[in-house]
Amino acid sequence: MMKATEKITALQATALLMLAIMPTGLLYLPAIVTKIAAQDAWISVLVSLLLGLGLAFYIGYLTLQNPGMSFIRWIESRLGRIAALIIGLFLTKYYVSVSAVALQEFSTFIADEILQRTPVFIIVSIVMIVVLYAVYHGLETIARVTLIVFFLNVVLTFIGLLLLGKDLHFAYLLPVGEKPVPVILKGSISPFIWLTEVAVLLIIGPFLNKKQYLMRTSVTGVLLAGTWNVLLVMLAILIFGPKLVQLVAYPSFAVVSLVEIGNFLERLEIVFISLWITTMYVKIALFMFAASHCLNDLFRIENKLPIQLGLGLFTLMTALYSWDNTADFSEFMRLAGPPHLFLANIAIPLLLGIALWFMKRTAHRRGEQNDG
Amino acid sequence: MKKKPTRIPNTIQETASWIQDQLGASPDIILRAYSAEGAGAERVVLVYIDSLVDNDTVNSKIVRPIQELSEEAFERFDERGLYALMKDRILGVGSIAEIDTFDHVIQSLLEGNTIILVDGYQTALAAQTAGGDERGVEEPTSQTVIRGPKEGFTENIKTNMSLLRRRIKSPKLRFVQQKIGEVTQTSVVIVYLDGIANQKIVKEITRRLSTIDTDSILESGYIEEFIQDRTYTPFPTLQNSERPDGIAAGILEGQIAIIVDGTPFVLLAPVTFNRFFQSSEDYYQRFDIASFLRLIRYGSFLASMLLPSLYIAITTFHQEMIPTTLLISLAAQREGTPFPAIVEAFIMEITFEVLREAGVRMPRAIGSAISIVGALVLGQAAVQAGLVSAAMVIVVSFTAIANFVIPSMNMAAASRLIRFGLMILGGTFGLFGIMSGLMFMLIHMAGLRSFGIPYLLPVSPLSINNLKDVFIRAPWWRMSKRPTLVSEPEAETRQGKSQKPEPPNTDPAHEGDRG
Repeated sequence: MMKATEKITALQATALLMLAIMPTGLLYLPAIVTKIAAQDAWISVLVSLLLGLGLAFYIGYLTLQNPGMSFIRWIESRLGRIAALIIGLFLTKYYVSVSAVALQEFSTFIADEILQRTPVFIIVSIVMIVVLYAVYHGLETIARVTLIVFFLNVVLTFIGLLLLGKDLHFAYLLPVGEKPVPVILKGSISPFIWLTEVAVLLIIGPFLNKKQYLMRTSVTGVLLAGTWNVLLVMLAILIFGPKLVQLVAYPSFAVVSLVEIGNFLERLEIVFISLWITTMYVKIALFMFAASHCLNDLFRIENKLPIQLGLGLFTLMTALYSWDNTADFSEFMRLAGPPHLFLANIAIPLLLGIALWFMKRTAHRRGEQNDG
Repeated sequence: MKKKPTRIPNTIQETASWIQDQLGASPDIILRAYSAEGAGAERVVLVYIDSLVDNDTVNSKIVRPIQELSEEAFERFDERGLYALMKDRILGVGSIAEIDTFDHVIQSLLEGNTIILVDGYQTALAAQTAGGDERGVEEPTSQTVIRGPKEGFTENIKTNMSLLRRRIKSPKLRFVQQKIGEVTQTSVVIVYLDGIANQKIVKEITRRLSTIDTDSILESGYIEEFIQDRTYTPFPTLQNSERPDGIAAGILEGQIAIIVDGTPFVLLAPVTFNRFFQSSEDYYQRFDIASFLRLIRYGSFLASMLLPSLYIAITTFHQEMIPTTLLISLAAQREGTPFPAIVEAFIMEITFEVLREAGVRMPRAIGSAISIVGALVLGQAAVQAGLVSAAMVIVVSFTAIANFVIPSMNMAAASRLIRFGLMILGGTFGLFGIMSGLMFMLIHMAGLRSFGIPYLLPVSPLSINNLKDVFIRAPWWRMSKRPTLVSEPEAETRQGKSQKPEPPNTDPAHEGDRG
């Protein structure tokens, strides 16, 4: 009943896309990229932004083909029930596991940095309660919250940048272009993989109130998130230098810990962490929503609450018990993460595009034959 | 189940005794019979309830003309003639209604009308004589301003309607009345501007009001709980005010007012979150100071909600944030206190809430005693006794004062309730707990609606035009649009553009030099 009236604006969708990508990248991106490309890491991220924009155009184009039905219904109407079933179940699984990964990263961070003695189980449960509350309210509410969180973060980022001015060492960037092109390209893979999460637009696109802004939304979302990544990696290198970035556990927050206002306000990273927490909530809520939306739509479930609760519990357990320790988790992220994201965010949209094009062509031919 | 209306019987005695039967033997029910001098038969009977009518009107406009009626008139006219004479010539009251059922008779008696019965005639006359003692228009006690009108609504619905009519002299101002409450039969009036208020919302409010099935409405709070969008929320989704200027301003922006007889608090719907931080004085003062005060109010709301929990979280979990010298002095204070910060905060907060509630109940004469007890005994002595730290007293007192800055009492109450929840979260999970709590609250607010209007409206969903009256107040000539969605889409423009005042091209100071 609520679904038919749920609408989000282009601005909200852009903020959603940006916050779907930004929060987890913030934790690990600088370390991962500088490990490969050292002081040229920012070039890698810039390259990934260009690749991401290409994908954004494609996803935007694909979503525009949708006449306004929900994603799964659309596939079903075009490619049949079997295809919808396969894609729907896979995407549900994908979004659940992405949520679980984000949840795991989130709770590990909180347990490492803020609440060392609180059981992880409690932290994960609190996060899940808030996330499920958001999912229960639906995309419209998530989008509204996102917009507020987005503005707060933009304001705070600017303040942070202003205050960090004195700590920048541009010498750390030299020599520019020392690394060969293949290395730089290799470095751009993981930031690009983060950007592929723009594919969630396939699911939230149909909720947009003005369809003509779809392309703009997709591109701006990736542009914002990519620019943010460039800025982040740049800052980390400019402040710590390429060597140190790799050694610090969470370079982004180490960066803001340098902020000092006079002699009375220092160690402000907790303020930045607090705001980052809100973005993390938005990200997990969006992906949990995507998972439950896919599943509900696939089986046309009217009473959504049990499914949402079940998925929530499932995600919570996955986050808690899939990985024995941090090493295990980073092994997973290194080996299983990228192919998984690739499959869900690039391979499936590509296959979908091909299938749709093929269907259109055969339909067209058949039409011509009928005419003749 | 509605029973069939019974018609008034033919004979006057029967009717009179029925009325006395229905209303019981209350001393304020007055029955006066008139008959021609010679004949004993009563021809005309007057009934009214003494405590509800304006005695002057009854005596001079109804009783005297009937008494001055000559005897021959009584004899000459039959019942039809007498009735017509009464209706057209004798009764000197403006509004007269003809009624013919018992239910109507009782109802109009209880509304303060005077009933005139003519023997042998099955229709009665109800003359409007409502009056009696009532509080006059006074300065509102709960929402005072320095600059602005000093009138407040009263308990009388007629007075309240007139206060609004006098402010908005437009033929489009609509009053729609209905009676709610099986027993109390309370008049409830919806007020809106036709063509400016969103017609869908008017319909929705009317529908919700008409579905109320209860025996009594004594205050607008009853109505509020029956018609609000969501019950289980600390945030109010209807505004109330006893200031006619505030309500009129709301009506002019497309909101719909609900006046309830018997209370000076008029409801206003639909509302968005930012409305609760606007005071009518904002619009009477210069826009710069109004904007500044408004920012102070939002800040105070946050402080009132967050300050104790932030203090608890930072002193318990994130001591590294505190400047070293302050940390040392805080640690020195905390040295002597036996409780963790959260227990300390709870002791002080509960103490304050008790003091505050006591202040409301306490007779005015000993009101000053409570401030002495509160300030000296509970504040200073508690610190000296080592029960709580001085910093905590400062935090709690500032929180308490910040709470009073919020112009609307129901929003202030919301922040009081949320404060306790956040204190627990801050004491157990530090800033992570507080942020999670705030996130929960934000999601809750984003999901709230007031008569279909998103609660966080001008901010999220974003409406840039309407941001001119949220965190700041732009000068009047800049606010050319009414709030979107609240008002009817065609009527969003409120005034002409480019009305920025400019000095004239010719400088009057040099005007004289020319000649």
